[in-house]
Amino acid sequence: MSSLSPHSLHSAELVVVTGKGGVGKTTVAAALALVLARERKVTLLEVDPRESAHRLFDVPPSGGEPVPVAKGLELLHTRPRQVVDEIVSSKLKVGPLVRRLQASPIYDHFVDGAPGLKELALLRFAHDLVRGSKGKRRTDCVVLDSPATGHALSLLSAPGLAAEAIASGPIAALAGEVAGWLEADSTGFVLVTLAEELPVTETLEAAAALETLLGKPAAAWVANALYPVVPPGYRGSPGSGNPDSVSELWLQRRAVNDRELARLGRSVGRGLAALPLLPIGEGRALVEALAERLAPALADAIGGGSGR
Amino acid sequence: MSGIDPILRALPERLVFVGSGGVGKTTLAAAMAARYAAGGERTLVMTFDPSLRLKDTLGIGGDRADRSGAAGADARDRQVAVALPEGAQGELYAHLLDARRTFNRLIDRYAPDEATRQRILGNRFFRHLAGQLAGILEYMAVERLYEAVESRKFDRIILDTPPTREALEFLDAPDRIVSFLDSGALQVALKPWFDEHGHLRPKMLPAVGRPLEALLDRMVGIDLLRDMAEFFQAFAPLFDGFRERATAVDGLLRSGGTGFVLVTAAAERNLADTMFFARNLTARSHDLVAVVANRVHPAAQGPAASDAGHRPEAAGLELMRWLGERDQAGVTQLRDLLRDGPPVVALPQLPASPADLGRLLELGCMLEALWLEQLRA
Repeated sequence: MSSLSPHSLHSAELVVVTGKGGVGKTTVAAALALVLARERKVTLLEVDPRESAHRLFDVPPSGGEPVPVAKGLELLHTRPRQVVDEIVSSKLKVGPLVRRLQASPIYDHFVDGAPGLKELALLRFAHDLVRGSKGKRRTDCVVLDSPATGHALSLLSAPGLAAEAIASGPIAALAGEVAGWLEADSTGFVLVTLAEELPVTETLEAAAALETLLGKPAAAWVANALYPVVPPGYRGSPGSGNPDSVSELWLQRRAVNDRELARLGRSVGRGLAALPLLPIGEGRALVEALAERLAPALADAIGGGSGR
Repeated sequence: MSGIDPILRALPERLVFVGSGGVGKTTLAAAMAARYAAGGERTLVMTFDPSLRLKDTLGIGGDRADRSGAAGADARDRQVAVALPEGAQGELYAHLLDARRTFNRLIDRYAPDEATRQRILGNRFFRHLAGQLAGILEYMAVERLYEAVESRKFDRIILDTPPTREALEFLDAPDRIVSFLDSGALQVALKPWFDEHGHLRPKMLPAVGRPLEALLDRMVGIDLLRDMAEFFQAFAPLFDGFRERATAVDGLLRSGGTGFVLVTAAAERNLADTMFFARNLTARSHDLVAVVANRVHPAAQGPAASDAGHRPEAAGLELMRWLGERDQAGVTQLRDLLRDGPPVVALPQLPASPADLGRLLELGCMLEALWLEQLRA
């Protein structure tokens, strides 16, 4: 099903990690970045205005500067507005003019309202991290902790949209270039979901939309926060006569997980990695434990894919 | 079905459910609406993004309707009566909101004539870009709330808010629309930059216009600039109506008849976000009537059995115990932080999400009971 081999995920320039709100997308992105950083230099790029990924590595907020968080891995937070400003400066080149423009409310609304400008700038920023601008290249692979699925779709469709809406000029050229990069083999997206009905349904919908948009399927799927597998024959611990509410909740929640994993499996085929709920609070220990499990799960999930 | 408790009946007649994506606010909004309706009120629930199953449960264009063809499409963007279980004393209506249609309706309302309407709807900037104008989706939700209030058809209106990257975007939306309309952007954009042949008028580019024009031209080329100018010119006659409306809508959100229910996850890592949002609501003089910690794992009863470690289910039970402790600690902290504020209602993690209207109503009753328990505590 997946057209990416494990080799290609491990040689990707950009991996966009997305999923519905509340599924643990940022945590999975961090674990995935940690796995990929075993072999290459990786940048985990966070774009959510409310910075949170630093808490996963027990470090202070990056404040727009790259922060090394593990061997081969740095964390970088950026704001769309900031990267738009950078692009405007580089295109206009005239200092005083740029400053005057950026101080005006007109510019604010232009940045807000222009088609996909912020998204385009963000992807261009990721592109330059890998490909380098002016010969400087700072990383091998960007793992983008992307906004939730709906927003991810607008993020990834922005270059195409902008290329269509903007007929000429340097932004049009830039849009075309980034759109081409997103369709290339060196970029891919990973979908994170809970094995529950609503998240699975929404993720399948998002996957179809992304596949149509980018002309390729997800590089991998991660079913996150699974309840523990129920041992054979276990029917719950007795409370007052019946299974107590806690073990009952476990059994029923895992049954939902199994049903939804099966549904995912039917749609995804191979390429599905499963991560359990772990009794570890948010922080580096959790990310490391998840990375330990993600590495073999990914190799297993993708390794059996049809290849190309 | 018993009538709803007087305490909950006395809550503001409009309840807005807010919170970050994925916390379950859509389902809770629908459950609460079902409870009010079953308890005798004429209730409307307005929602942006329900799951197929919830749509199906409410009969607003879920799977079944979509398969049968037109019904699904029809149910979009209008109020649909929901058949309540037997014994219900009130009425329930559901409204699946659609931002683009709402925007189009506003244009229909404020466009002075058909030609203006057509110019706006046909404009490329509008078609591609206006939908992305920051806050448009959020604004449209409040806009429809206002419309429903004006209709005076309902005792109770429950609004589920669109999933925003930042929950506060929702509250800012009317303000942003007003500021957009008032900003210099329009004053400049409205100047007739282009002559009748679509060429830039050189004299329209003095001190203010020139840097903007230079930016736009260098960045995006002249076509987009032309589209934008055309859009703003076509839109001009609508501005006053829009601005008045946005101001009124903002007032509605701050009035005594509107209360907010903040839905959140229980774990400690969500506390900072929850407190941030709760404080902001209050600071903006919004009425925060409750915080609902959703999907709280129950505390395990008693100590782990001494021989538990040898059983195959030990690890699973240990995890369940850990989740229970994590969530209970989160709720305790939240209650402590909000001790002088709104009640914190802890809603347990359910074995499965409600599959039919009966289950949805049960969830509503549970929410009611736990809410009352906190108010009386």
